[in-house]
Amino acid sequence: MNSRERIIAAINRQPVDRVPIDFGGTRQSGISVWAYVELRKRLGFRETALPRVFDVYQMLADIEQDVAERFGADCVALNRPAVAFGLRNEHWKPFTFPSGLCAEVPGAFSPEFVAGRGLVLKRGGTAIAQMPERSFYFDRLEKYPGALHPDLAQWHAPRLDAVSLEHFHREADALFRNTDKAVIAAMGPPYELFNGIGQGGFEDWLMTFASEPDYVDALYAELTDAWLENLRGFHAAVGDRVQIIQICDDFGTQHAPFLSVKMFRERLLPAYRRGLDWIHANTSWKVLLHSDGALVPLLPSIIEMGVDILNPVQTSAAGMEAARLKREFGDRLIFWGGSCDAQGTFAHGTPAEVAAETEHNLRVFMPGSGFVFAPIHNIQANVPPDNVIALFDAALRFETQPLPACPT
Amino acid sequence: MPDLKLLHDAVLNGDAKVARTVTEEALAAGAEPVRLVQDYMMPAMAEVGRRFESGECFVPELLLSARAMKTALAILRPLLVTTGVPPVGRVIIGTVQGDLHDIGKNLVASVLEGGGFEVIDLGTDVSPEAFLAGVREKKPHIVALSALLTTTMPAMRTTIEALEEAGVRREIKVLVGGAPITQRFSDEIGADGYSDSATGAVRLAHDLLGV
Repeated sequence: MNSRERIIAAINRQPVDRVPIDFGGTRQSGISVWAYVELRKRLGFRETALPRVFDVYQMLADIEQDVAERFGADCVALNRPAVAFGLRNEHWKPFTFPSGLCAEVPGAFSPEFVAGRGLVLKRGGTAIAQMPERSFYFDRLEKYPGALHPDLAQWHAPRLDAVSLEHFHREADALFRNTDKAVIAAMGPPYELFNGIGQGGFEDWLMTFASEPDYVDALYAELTDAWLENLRGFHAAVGDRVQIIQICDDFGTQHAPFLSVKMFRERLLPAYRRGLDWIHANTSWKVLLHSDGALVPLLPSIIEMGVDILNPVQTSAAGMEAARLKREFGDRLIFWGGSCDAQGTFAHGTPAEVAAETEHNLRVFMPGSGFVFAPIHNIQANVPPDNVIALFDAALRFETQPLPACPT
Repeated sequence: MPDLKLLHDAVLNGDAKVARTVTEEALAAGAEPVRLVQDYMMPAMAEVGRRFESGECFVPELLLSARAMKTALAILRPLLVTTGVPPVGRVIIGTVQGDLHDIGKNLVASVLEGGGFEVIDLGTDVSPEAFLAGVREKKPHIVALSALLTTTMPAMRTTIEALEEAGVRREIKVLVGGAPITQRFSDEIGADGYSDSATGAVRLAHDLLGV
């Protein structure tokens, strides 16, 4: 069973030869470059020229083949030509961050250091992102449409251009032919319909969302028109070389969904279903939703809207205990993540505690499969390398049900 | 005199326009500001808080109610001050150093204001020195620290240490909150209280000040 076969088997609830693993297949299952550098050291792997940061927003490292093989990574990401801030991932150059880290970054990445603010990234003279001193990420300073409340007679959602489609065609082909891994592409609406769209003024957006339903429906009509055009173009470019489409949107807080089931069903479900219905009618792709937080009351609606796979399965959020999810939704939803509490044990516990919690969750999620193992969100800068090793080793040594014998 | 139940319902249903209109009409008809706040607005906000905690309403509804409350309070507060009714307490709030996330912090600030507190928001990426300067200048009763990231949790400890070293720690109560924060962490760093929700933070603030 190769990696791609293993993932396809898992998401179709068929037997697998070992726990299927996603490490770096999405921008929500990767590793911070700071943790990556420490991990390589701990593993005793040779120093590479420089670690490469393919996502300068979240500061995620390109996971090199030796590390990917060590941890059994079964997935790869088909990324956009410009992953973060519209900066194309090309013309790599060395860059020294204020912490002293030296890494390869896209050639167009040129933030300024401003005392008291840290690194400030500008576009056309306007600051669009900032990495505070002693921080390990950039944060966006831009306002997105939900916060800007544009006049919809004038506003149009962005469409994929021919250059991007050509990039997707070429890269999907290369990933499909040159690796044996499952290929995942993020291809949601041009803006996350609920959470991301409120960037730069989330409270204002939430009040718009709750008190101006006609405006929100019109905004969603334009966004889903663009999404459908993008999906058609993307499908023509990549076809079946991609196996999983990821959509990202955060519907949950630590304790409860951000919004009522009623509002979810009235506004979000119909909008998302437009795109997901098209995917299921016209492609072989499975749909993976990345949403943090406590989601249980929304899960029946999320399933109804066409989501096949849930990530990252934040087991520390209210009601998201592994056993409950498996029992109540395991027949209708594939779980992808759910390994070890990223806000607790994984960041602050001992390797033995990480292993114990991870094994517990594996024992819950693996029977009958329908599970892909992944860290719960990206591995953060301060996670000790021994915890990372303990996490993946728990999955690699976990005994799966034997594969059925070949018919004779 | 307008039907003051309309003011209660405007706050409960998050309708800022109605809250403003009824407040103005009530004042014009000679209503006592303190009665509007205590008999109509506060009970409505308390009911919103109860519904939020019991899962009957969610963040958008809470924000709309807080906005309606603040809209009416903006008209009433100058009158409350002249009639000798001060805010419940003064709170300095901010997201700690290295962290630019403010959704949770803004929600807590909104609900605290809705609960009658004067809130001074220092924003995000607030250094221990800036919190200390805020304490010296504004003389708050409470300092509320927020962090979303596991990587910025340690900045809560250094902020409390800075307040201790400067000798102002005993004059204030320190509240902490944010997705990765726990009661155990709050105890470890010597905070006075932790809450895992915005409405819980307001209740805690009331309890700590005995108001």
